[in-house]
Amino acid sequence: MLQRLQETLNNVLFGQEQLVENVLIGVLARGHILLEGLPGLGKTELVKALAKALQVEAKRIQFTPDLLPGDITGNPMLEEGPEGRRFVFQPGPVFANILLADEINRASPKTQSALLEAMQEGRVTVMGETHPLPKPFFVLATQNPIELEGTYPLPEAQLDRFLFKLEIHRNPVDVLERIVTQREMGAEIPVEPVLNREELDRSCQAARQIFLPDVVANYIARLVDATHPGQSKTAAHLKFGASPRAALGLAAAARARAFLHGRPNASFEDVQSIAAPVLRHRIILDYHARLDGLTGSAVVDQLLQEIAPHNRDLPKTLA
Amino acid sequence: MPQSSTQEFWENTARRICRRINLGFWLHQFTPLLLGLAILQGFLLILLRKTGHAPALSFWLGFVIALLAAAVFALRRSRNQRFSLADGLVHLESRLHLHNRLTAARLGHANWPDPIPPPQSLRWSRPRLALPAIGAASFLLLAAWIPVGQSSAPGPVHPPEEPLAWREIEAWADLLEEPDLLDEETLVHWREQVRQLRDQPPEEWYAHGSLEAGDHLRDSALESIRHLQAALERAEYPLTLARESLDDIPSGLRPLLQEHWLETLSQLNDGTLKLSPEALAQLGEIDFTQIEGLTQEQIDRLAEMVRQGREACAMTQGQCPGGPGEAEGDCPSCGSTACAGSGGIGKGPGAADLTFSEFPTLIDSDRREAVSNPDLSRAALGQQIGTTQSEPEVDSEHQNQITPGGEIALPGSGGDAVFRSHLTPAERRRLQHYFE
Repeated sequence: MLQRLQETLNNVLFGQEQLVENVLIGVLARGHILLEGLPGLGKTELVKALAKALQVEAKRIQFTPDLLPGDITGNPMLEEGPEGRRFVFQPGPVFANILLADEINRASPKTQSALLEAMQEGRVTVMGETHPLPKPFFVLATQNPIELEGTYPLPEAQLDRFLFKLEIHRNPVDVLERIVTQREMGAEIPVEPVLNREELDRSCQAARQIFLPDVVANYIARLVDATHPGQSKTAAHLKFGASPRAALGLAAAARARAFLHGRPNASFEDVQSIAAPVLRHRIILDYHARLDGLTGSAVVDQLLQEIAPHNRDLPKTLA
Repeated sequence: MPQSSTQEFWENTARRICRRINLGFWLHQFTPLLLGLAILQGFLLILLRKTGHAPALSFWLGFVIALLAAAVFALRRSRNQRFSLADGLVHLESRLHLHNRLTAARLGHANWPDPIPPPQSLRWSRPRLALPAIGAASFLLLAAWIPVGQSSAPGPVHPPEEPLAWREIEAWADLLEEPDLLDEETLVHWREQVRQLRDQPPEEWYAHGSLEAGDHLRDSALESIRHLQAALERAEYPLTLARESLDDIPSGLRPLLQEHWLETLSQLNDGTLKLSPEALAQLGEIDFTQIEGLTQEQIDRLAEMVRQGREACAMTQGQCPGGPGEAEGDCPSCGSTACAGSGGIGKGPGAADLTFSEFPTLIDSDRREAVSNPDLSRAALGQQIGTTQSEPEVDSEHQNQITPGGEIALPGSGGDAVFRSHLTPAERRRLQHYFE
C-alpha cells in the first residue's frame, strides 16, 4: 500500500522521488514538514495529491503579513438564535488533516505562534476554549528561500517543531521535458485514493512498533550530542546544537523509513538517510560558518563522516 | 534454510571475526611490551658480555618468563576492548549492509537473513605487527653480535702510597737506632706520630692538614738530627785527637779541649735528640785535663761510638760516610743508591775534603820562615800576590734555628780582603813597570 502511495505521488511530482519518500516518512512518523523551495516547483501540488491519496481533508493557508492568528485558528462568531445571541466558534483552516501553510515566513510572529500550539499539541485554544484538532494532523509549511524583504524568519522554537525540513531543488532537463509533455497549466492532476484514514492510522502505529536496536539508538544519541559545540570537530562551526526532540524525531523517522522499506528494524542506514532533514534546521551556525557559506546540510554531512555508526573501533593492528 | 542453522552460520562467522579482532587488540597491547623487554634484554646481554660472562640458560629463561608475564598483562589490558558476539554481529552487518538485521535477529525481533558469503577477512597491518617484532629481534641480535670491550675485573684496591715524609722519618729513626747511642724516647715519639698519621683513612693522607703535619714533623726531626750531628762532630774532634795522640797533647791545649768538650756535652744535652744516659755518662767521664786517666781502649771506644752516631746522622741526610762518589749510580763507598751528591752534576757525594776547623792543625812548629824571592823577574807575577789567614765567621747559633725554605742555611760573612789569583794583561804590565 505504501509503495503504491509512493508511486502515486511520484506520478504527480516528477523527479522528486527522494522528496516524496521523505514526505511519506514524515507522515508515517506523524511529524510536521517544512518545505523550502522556489515557487512553482510543485509544493502545493504535492500536498493536494497527498491529501487526495490519503482521502483526508486538506486545507491551505496563504500566509501574508496581515494574517491574524484568528485567521488560522478560527474565531468566535456572534450568532443570533432562538435562545438569543451567542458566540459560536467558527473553526479556522487549521482544522484539517493536512494543513498547507504557504510562505509561513511571511506572517507575523504572532500569527506564526498561533500555529505553534496546534502543531505541538494538536489543539487550539480560543477565548479560553480548547478545540482539538482532527487526527491525523499534519502541517506542511513552505517558505521561499529568496524572498527576504518583508519576511519573518521562523524562530528556533517553532523550527524545532518541524520533524523535517525538506529542500526542493529545481528539476533537471529531462524532468522538465516530461513535465512539459505531460502537464498542462492549471489542469487538475487526477490522484487515485490509496489509503483511508484508518489505514493511515494503522500504518503509523505499525511504524511506531518497528524495532530500534540499542546500537542504533546509541548512534542517534551520539549524532545529536555531536551537534553541540565542543563535542566534535564538526561542531566547531556551530553555535547551538540539536535538542532531545531532534533525537526523538530521528528515532521516529528511522523507524518510519524502515517500515516504508519493509524492514523489521531501524538501522544505521535509516538514520544516516534521514539525518539531514531532521537536523539541518535545528542546528544554528555561528557567524564565521555563515560567512564561509556553510549550510546546515553541509554540516550534517560532515557530522555523518565524523561519527561512525558503530562506536567500537578496530585495533590499529588490523587494517 | 532453518533459522537455527542460519543463526549458527552468522554467529560462527561473527565469532571468527571477533577472535581476529580480539587478537588484534591483544597484539596492540603486547607489541610495545615485547619491544621494551627485548631492548632491556639486549642491554643486559651487552653488560653480561662486557664482564666476560656468557649468557646462561637462566638468562634466556628469565626473558621467556617476562614475555609470558607481558602476554598476560596485555590480555588483561585488552579485556575492556574485546569484541563480544553482539559487537561481532554489528561489525558483520555493517560490512555486509544488512541494515542491523543480525542484531535484530539475535534479539528475536527479526528473522536471520539467509547466509551470504562473509566479507573479506580483516587484514593485519603489517607495519604495526612486523616492525616491533623485527625491531625486538634485531636489537637482540645486535646485542649478541656487536663487539664489546671486556672490562677487567676490578683488582684489589691498593692503599695509596704513603707520603714521603713519613717514610723518611721512619727510615731516619731506623738509622739512628743502630748505633745504640741515642735515647729512644724521641725516636719512639716520632714513630708514634707517624703511626697516628698513618691511622687516618687513606683518603685523608694527602689532605692539606695531614701533609702539613707530616712535613712539620719531618722538618723538626731533620733539624734535631742536624743539631745532633753538629754536636757529634764537635765531640769527634777532640776524641779523634786524643785517639791519635793521647800522650802527645800539649798541656796548654788540654784546658781548651776540656772547655770545648764541656760545651759539646752541653750541646748534646740540649737538643731534642739526646744521647742515651749511658752514652752521656761515658762521655761525661772524659776529662781532657786529666787525660792520663783514660786508656786508649776507652778513647777508641768512645770515639768509635761518636763516629757511628755522626755517620748515622749523616746518612739520614744522604751523606755517605765514605769517600766522594758520583751523583749517579751506586755509591762506590757503600754501594747504596741512596747516597746523594752534595753539589751539582758530577760533583760526587760527600762534603768537601777541606773544612775549616775550630782548632789549628797541630804541626808543633814554633819557627816561622819567610819565603821571599828577590829575583822578581822570575816571579810569576799576577798569579799570587799575597796570602792571609782568617777564620770564617760562622754563626753557630744559626744552626739551631729552623729556617724557612729558600733561605741560605748558613750565611757566612766573608773576609774583607779580596784576593785575585789572576791579573789582567794591563794590570800585569803596570805591576811589571812598578817593580822595574
